[in-house]
Amino acid sequence: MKLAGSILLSGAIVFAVWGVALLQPTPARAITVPTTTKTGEQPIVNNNTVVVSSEGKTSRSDTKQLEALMIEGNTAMLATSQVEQLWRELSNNKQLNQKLVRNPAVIYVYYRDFSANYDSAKVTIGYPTSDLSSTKATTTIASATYDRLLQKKKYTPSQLSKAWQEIDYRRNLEHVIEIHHLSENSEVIATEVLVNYEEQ
Amino acid sequence: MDYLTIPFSVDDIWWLEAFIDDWFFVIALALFVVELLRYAFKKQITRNLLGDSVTNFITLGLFMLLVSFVALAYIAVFFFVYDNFKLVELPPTLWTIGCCIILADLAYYWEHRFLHKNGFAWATHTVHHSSPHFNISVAYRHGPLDWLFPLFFYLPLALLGFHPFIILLAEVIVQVYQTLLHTETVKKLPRPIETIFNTPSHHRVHHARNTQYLDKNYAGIFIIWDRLFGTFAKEEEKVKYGVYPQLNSVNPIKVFFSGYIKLVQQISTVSSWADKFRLLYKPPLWAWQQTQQKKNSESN
Repeated sequence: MKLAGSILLSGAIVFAVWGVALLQPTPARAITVPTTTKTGEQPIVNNNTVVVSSEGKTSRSDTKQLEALMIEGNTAMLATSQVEQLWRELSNNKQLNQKLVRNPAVIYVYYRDFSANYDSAKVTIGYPTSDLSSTKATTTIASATYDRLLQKKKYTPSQLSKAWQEIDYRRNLEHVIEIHHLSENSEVIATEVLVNYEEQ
Repeated sequence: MDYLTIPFSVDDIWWLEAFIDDWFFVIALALFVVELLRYAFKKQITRNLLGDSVTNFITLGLFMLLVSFVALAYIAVFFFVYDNFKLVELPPTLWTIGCCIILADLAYYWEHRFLHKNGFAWATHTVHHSSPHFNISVAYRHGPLDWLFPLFFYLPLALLGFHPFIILLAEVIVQVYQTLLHTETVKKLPRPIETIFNTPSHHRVHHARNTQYLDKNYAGIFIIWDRLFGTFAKEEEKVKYGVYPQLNSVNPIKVFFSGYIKLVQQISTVSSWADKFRLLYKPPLWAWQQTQQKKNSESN
C-alpha cells in the first residue's frame, strides 16, 4: 500500500477505535473513591458540656431551603470519624449500585441523632431515589432551612474537616448534610455542607 | 463486562505505569541471564557479545540521565494539550485503556516507520540497530534523542481525550511488549499468533541488514499494521544483524553518539546546502546512495 493510502487507512482506524472508546457502555455506577470528610477533629466534650474550639458561631450566615428528599444508601450509627468505612460499604453495595439508572450526579451524607458529645451519629450515605430503578429502605432528609457551612466548591479533605470545627456546637445540632457533586466519571467535583440546628 | 467500565482513579493508573516500568526491568534482566546461559550452553559467548551487552546497558544509563532532565516537561506537554484542547474526556476505565493501547500501538508503528525514514530521526534510532547481536539487552540500547520522537506521535491521543497517564501506561505496555521480542531463544510461535501479533521472529527481520528485510516489520504489538500497510516480511533467510556499514565498537560513548556523529560528518562533507538539508529529512538509504555515487564517481 502506498504511503498516502496507509495514512488514510490509519486515520480511519483511529476514528473507529476512538468511536469504540466513546461508545463504551457507561453503566450507572457508584462513586469509587470516597473523598470524605470528617476526621476525628471533633470539638472536645466533657461531661456533656460542649467546648467549642473556636470562638463564637459559624461566620457563614447564608441559608439554603431544602425540600424533603428521599435517599437510599447505607446507614449506620457510628463514630463520625469512621464515616469512610460507610463510604466503602456504599461502594461495595452491589445490590444498590445495580439499581442505579444513571450515573448519579450527587451523593448525600446525612448525619442526625448525634450523641451527647457529638462524636457519633446516625449516618446515611446514599443516592437520591430518583436515580434508582426501585427503592426499598429509604431515608428522608427533612425539609428545613439549613445554614450553609461550605459553599458548593471543590475542597480538600482537610478543608472539609475544618468546616466541621466551625459548627456552633453550643446550639442543639440536629442535622448535617454533605452534598457531594459528582463528575461523569463518578469523581467528586464539588461539595457543599449544610447544617441545621434544633429550634430553641 | 462490567469490569471493563469500572473507573480507576488516575492515581491507580500512574501507580500501575510506574509498577510495570520498574518491575519489568527486573524481569528483563532475569530473562537476559537465561539468554546468556543459553549462549554459554551453545558455546556462543564471546568477548564481543559481553562487551556489546554491557554497552547496551550503559547507553540505557545515558538515556535515562537525559530523560531525567526532560521527563517533567514531556508529561507537562501531554497535560497542557489534554487540559486545554481535548475534544472529549474519556473515562479512566479498562475499556478506554484497551482502546488507548490499540491506538498507541498504531502510533508506535508510525513513529517507528518515521525513525527509519528520516535522516535526523534515524541518527538516534540507528544506535538501537547498530548491535551485531540480538538479545534482550539490545532492547535497552538507546540513542540520545529516543525520548523526543514518541511525543509527536502519542500527543494526538491527548487531543482525543485519553488521560495523559493512560497514554503513558499504553506507551509503557507497547515498549514492554517490544522489549520481549529481542531474543533468538524463541523461534516461531503458533501461526495465529504470528499472524496477529509481533513476535521475536518478525522483530529479528526488523533488525536485519539482509536486503530483502530492510525497512520491514515496524510493529509494536500488532503485526497487522505491517500486513495492512505493506511493510511486512516473513523470516525466511537467516538474519544478519546490525547496520550497514557495521559500527564495530563496544565503546558506549561512541555507540551512543554514533548516529549523530555520522550525520554531522555526512553534512560536513556535502557542499550544497540543499543536500545538507536533505540529509536531515531524507531516508538514510538516500544518504547511503549519495555516498556510493560519490565513491563511484571518484573511482572513475
